[in-house]
Amino acid sequence: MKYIANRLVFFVITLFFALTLNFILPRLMPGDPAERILSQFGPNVDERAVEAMRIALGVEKDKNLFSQYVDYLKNTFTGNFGVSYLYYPVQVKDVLATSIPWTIGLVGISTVLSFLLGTFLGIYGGWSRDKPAGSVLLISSLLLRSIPYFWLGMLFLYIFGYRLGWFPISNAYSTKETLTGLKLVLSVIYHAILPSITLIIASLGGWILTMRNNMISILAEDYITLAEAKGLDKKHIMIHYAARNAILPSITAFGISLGFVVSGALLTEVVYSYPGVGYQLYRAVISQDFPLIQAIFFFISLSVLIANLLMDFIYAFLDPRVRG
Amino acid sequence: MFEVINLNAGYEFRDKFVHAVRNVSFKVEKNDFFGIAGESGCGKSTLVLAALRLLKKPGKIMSGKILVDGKDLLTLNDSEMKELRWKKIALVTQSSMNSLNPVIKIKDQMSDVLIKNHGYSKADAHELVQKNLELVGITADRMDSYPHQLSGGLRQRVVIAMALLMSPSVIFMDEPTTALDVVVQRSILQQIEELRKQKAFSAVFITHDISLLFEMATKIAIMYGGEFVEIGEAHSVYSNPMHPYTKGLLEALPSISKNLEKYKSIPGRPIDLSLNIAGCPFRERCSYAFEKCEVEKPELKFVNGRWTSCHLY
Repeated sequence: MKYIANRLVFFVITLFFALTLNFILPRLMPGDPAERILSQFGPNVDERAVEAMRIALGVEKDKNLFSQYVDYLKNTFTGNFGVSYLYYPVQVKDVLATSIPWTIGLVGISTVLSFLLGTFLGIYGGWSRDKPAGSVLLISSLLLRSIPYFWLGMLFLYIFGYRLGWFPISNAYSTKETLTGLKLVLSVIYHAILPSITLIIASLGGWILTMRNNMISILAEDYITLAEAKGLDKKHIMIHYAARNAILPSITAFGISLGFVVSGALLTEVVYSYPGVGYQLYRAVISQDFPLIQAIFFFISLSVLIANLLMDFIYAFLDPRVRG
Repeated sequence: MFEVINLNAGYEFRDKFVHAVRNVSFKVEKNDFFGIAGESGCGKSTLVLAALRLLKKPGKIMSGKILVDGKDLLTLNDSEMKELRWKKIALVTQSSMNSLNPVIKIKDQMSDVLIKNHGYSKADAHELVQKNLELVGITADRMDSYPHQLSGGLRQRVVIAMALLMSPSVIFMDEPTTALDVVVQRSILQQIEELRKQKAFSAVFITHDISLLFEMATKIAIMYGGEFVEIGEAHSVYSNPMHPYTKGLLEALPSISKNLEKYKSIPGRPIDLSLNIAGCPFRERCSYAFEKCEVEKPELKFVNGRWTSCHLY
């Protein structure tokens, strides 16, 4: 209980710091954001237009930094992130509402699948490291790990999307017709297959290697020898003695990558023109859409922190030593 | 009861073979406390692993027999081995720190072998666990603890209690007290002695701490370069060491009564177990060495009621 309370306090403090940083960073940039935006429309900017823009952005000259900060916090917690420049006059929160679910669906599911599959293969690979199957697994995971995933994405897109025409080459669902119900679901799955396979393959090698290495170092422990001396079944030793301990460092790594689900797999989403957060972030950066960038950063920080909090709890459940 | 005959084992690498156990034979009778002493890297731990058929790749048993009640372990299949393990032969491992699985409760990791392999019910298994923990002075309220909640000494007691569970005839103890401080060491050793009298098991005790063996062992074997160089009754080896290596080990023991000038160490370093040496493996460190030691390897001979491998006899 003390552990959980500790983690929660830590969560709140870190979130507060992340929010503050997110507030300070854009304000450290040289120049006036209002002028910067309006200068896109031409060299002669009306001073009143700049003033109006300042009010819209909440960075009025006569407003001190502290009250700007209070407004910022208030707006953040009420979900008022302002208007997107890129999709003017659409609200940032509406842009996010249409992109976050896609990313969580695609990247989230791919991350979980990749972790489960990689960990399972890693357990087997570490356990049978002396057998041919173990060597094959090691070599293939090293190979997988060294493939740049955006390249893999483009390769898949070219072969299976463009050349063979088996899979769609952009979007998250078919835009040619209006789909509903099961048809929509199937279309979404169909569109997600290529990007999701890309993401899984890109991270699979890492999960296998991590778990395999953990397994091998755990297998040298005395409690494994003792379990073998007891004559316990190999499977029982592999799961309850070796994997049960070897998975702990992987859980931490899994927490970190879950946290980065919201930031999306930027390159994968760009390659597949998938309307997720990564794609929006890319477009927002290109067009200097600061409200959108700031909001996306906020959600990335929030999701990293929440994922870590979640993993802390899972870790406490799995490892009696951190419970204290 | 437990007998090893001409055991050869080692580690096979692509370019070399480390011959860590060389033609080792010994016999453990009922109520024996059989001590095996030697420097680090002399093959003691490999001997234990090989004798329990626990040597993993690249480790390998090349030849020999390991007899438990007349049955050769090396010819048994997996299910016969499973039946015999822990019931006949048990193990206490080297370091008290890593001998227990950190994520499983004491009672559960002690009882898993009873429930999984020997048909105990959970309740019966836990009762037996409690009884054995009490034997080593651990109260029932510790059964629900995790290993990290116990001190090093208590953990080692748990491992000993675990080895005792099925009253095996032989317990192998591979440096069971090495990671502990001297005071705790002493109390654990006394405990082992008491338990041995009470439960009548034999022990094969491996250590590099030879003074400890002379105090506790009934029989003692001195291991050098993968071989036994002297085997005999503990007290007679102590009072009259025959092999020059044994003599050297005894002279290296510090003593309160002896004056410090007599306190000598053995010069040189242990031999490389991947080499096959013609002649006596100890000759380069031996002050008694003569021509014959260079060319002919001494065999174990039965002299003065004990086995020694030295050309002096």
